[in-house]
Formats: sequence, C-alpha cells, structure tokens
Amino acid sequence: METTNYSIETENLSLWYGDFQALIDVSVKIPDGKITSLIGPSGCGKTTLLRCFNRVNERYGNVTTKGEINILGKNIYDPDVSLLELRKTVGMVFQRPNPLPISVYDNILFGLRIHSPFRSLSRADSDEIVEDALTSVFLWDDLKDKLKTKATSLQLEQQQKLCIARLLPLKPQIILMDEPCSALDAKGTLAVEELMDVLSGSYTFLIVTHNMAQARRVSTECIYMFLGELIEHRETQALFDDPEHPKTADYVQMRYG
Amino acid sequence: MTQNIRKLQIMFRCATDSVNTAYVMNMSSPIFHSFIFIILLVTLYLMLDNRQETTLEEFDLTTNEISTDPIYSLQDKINSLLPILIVSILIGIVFAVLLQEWIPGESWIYRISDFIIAILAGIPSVFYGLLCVYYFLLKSGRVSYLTQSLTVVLLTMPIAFQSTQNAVKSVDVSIREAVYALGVKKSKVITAHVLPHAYSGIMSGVYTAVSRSFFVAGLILVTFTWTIHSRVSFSIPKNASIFLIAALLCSLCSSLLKKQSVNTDYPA
Repeated sequence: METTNYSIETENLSLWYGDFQALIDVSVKIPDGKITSLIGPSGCGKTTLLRCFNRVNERYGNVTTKGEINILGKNIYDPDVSLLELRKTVGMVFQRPNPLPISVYDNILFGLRIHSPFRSLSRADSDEIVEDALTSVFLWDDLKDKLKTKATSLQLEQQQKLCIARLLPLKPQIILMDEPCSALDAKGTLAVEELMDVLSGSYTFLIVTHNMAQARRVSTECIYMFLGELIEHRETQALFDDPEHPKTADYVQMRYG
Repeated sequence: MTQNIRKLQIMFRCATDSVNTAYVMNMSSPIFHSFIFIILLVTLYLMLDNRQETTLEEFDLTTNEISTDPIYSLQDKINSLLPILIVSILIGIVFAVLLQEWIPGESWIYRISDFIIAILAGIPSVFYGLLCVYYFLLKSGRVSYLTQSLTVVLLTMPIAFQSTQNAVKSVDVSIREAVYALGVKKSKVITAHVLPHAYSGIMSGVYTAVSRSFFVAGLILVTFTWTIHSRVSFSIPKNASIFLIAALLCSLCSSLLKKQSVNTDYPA
C-alpha cells in the first residue's frame, strides 16, 4: 500500500467569531497533490475552514482559534511562522474573479514584485515569468497580444484563470478555492475545472463548492461539513454513492439543502 | 469671411487631432496633474511676488501711508500661512489613512473622530473667521501666528480628511482581500494598492481644501481693501483676484476628479 503525504493536517481545530463557534473540533488530513472538495449547506463553516489555512480569517478581528493546523509539517500558529511566507505558500482564489484593476502583465507580477527587492527583476525574466504563468493556465494564446490591457476588461472566465495565474509566480504548494466557479457560466466552469485537473499533480487543491455535481466531477476526496462539524471525509465516489452518515446521505441525495 | 471660418475649423480640427485629448483630459494621467501643478506654481509665484506690483492706483483714492500698510501686512500674513496649508492637508490625509486602515470601525476613537470631523467639515468658513476674531482679536487685541495656523487647519484639514477617508473606503474589498492573500504586508497593501487606487479621490479633496482656503483669502483681501478705502469699487484688487482665480481652478479640478474617482475600474 502506498503511503500518502498530507499537505494539510488539522487537529481538534475550533474557531470562534466572538461568541459564535464556527468550527467544532475539526480534524482533517488533506492529501498532497490531489483535489479535495468541501461541501455542505451555507453557514456550515466550509469557507471559515478554508480561510484558516492561510490565516486570512485573522483580519476580521475577534477571532479565536484553538487547535493545530500543520501545513507541510509545520504548525502555522507557531510564533515563528511568517504570515507572508505562509500566504505565499498557500494561495487563494475567490468567489468573484478579482483581478487587480491594472494590466494583465502587472497583475501576474504584482505578488512577485512586492516580495522581491526593488528592481531585482529584469525585463527578460519578468517576460518569461508572465509567459510561463499564462501558459500554465491556458491563457497565453488568448492574451499574448493583450498583455497591456486592463485585467478587469477581460471575460469573467479569463479573469478567474488570471487570478489562478497570479498565484503561480509565487510558487505556492497549496491553492485554496472559495467557490471559484459560482460567477462563471457552464463553459467557464468547464475551463476552470479542466485547468484544475491539469494542475492538480503539482499543486494541492482545496475547493469549496455548493455545486455537488462539480465536487463529484473534479475532486478525488470530499469532505462534508454541517454546522461547524466535520461529518464525513472519504473518497468522492464513495461519499456520494454510499454515504456512511445519515446527515451526509440527506445532503448528497438532495433531501436537504 | 466664410472661407476664413472654414480655415479656422480645419485648423482647430488638426490641432485637436494631433493632441490625444482623451489622454490629456484623463484626470489620473500625470500630464493632467503636471499641467495643473504648473498653473498652481505660477499662481503661487505671483502671490509671493506681487508685493511690489500691487499699487493702489487701481482704486481712485488718495493714497496715503496709513491705508497702504495694512493691505501689505495682510498679504504678508496670508503668504506666511501657505506652508501651514500644505501641512494641514497632509495631516488630514495621513490621519484619514491611519484611522481608516488601522482603527476598527466600531471603536470609540473612530466614531468620535468621524463625528468631530463631520461637524468641522460642515461649518461654513465664515464662522471660523468670526471665531478667530471674537475669541482672539477682540479679547487679546492681536491674533498670534498659532491661532492663524489653527484656523487654517480647521478650515482645510476636515475636507482633506473626509475625501481621503471616502476614497480609501471605496477601494474594493474583494480586491484588497486578494492582495492580502498574495502574502502582502498591510503597509505594502496600502502603499502599493489602496493609495494608487484612491489617488483621484484624495487629490479631489486636496483641491477642494486648497480652493476653500484660497477663496476665503481672496474674499478677505477684497473686503479688507474696500473697508480700508471705505468704498466699494468695481475693480477687484490684483492680489485678491489671483487667489480667486486659483480657487476657481482648484474647485474645477476637484469636481472633475470627483467624477473620475467614482470608480469605473471595478466590475459591478
């Protein structure tokens, strides 16, 4: 039996927004280089859990966390963890495509420019980085003549792909996606899903989705959450065909939610 | 005659074609701002330099020493307040960015400063002048430089503050979040993302504040000159007209910029 590496491991993770407990004792292991999907009704803590992994949650203030999150073997709540390095390693794609209102070229280099010393990037290097990033999200052919156009003027599908491409120059290991396709049409959704499929070998994907068909199509493992608790975590096929827990069965067989 | 008009039309079209008007008129373009800054610099130069030029010959009055002196000294005082104007606008901008970015919206510091600034910005400029006159001029007989500076600060700081605050607020939250998720420090997020996108809004506030203070200065010079000569004349004193023109220009810029700062950058 092959040994699986886990890129994210949480142990008894609990989280409170003020008095409200959003996550209750979540222990989960996310396998390396695979696509894992998080499903569940609204307000069940999927997005909260996702946001814990690059500590974006902390920006809202009055958030208390207990427990451990190990990412690539390191507890991210250790005091010596650099938040900037963590967020470089764990990239995030949002629900609505949110490219910065600057050119396509600058969008891709934005992160890298900020993280590298001033003027250390040569013109040739940056051209190459932009080409690589756009090629790996299949946008290079469409956009190679439009690198100077404003990213907000692109189609939504291209914008969302650009948001993924924007992470790549920082060499992330894990990419978190918060309902990446909810603003896209069927064609755009398909394109993004194909992209995830191709990239999944080299990056670990964690995707929150309301669309169960999508979870079924793209993910190898699936997590069902309900009211802040992790109910079931199994391989996608097994979870959908033969749910162990009655709550999961209710949800995946669409009797609920 | 008609031929001449035609020629003029063609010339005008050539001129407008050769200059990319869309670019020059784009309020966030550097060309536009350097243009405005040159005009402002010339205005400032004229203001600082017009002591020798201003004569009272414009007013048909018997010039005597007593009546010329106060105008010069008033002009001097106004000129000496220019650095204070710049400093107070800068204070407003910095204070607004700090408050908006680092103080949570529900804390009492935020709410109190928001409240006070809103009140200060709403008070007509005349009342600040009256306050200054009643509490300092009439009580102690003279107005110190500190008091004058405070009046300028009260006049301009709230406006710079409010427009900066609104501009910073209007920077899209989801895009800001995306920048944070790229692992960017808070200070870097502000300098590299928030401020560039709030730029036109902030500049609009700067122009409004400058315009407000110049307008008041011009008005005071006009009324003061008329009072000294105890006569209302149709010609506006030169030094006052420079202030008034600068104020007009600034308020024009500010309203154009405000139109621009209602962001069309972001998807709805």
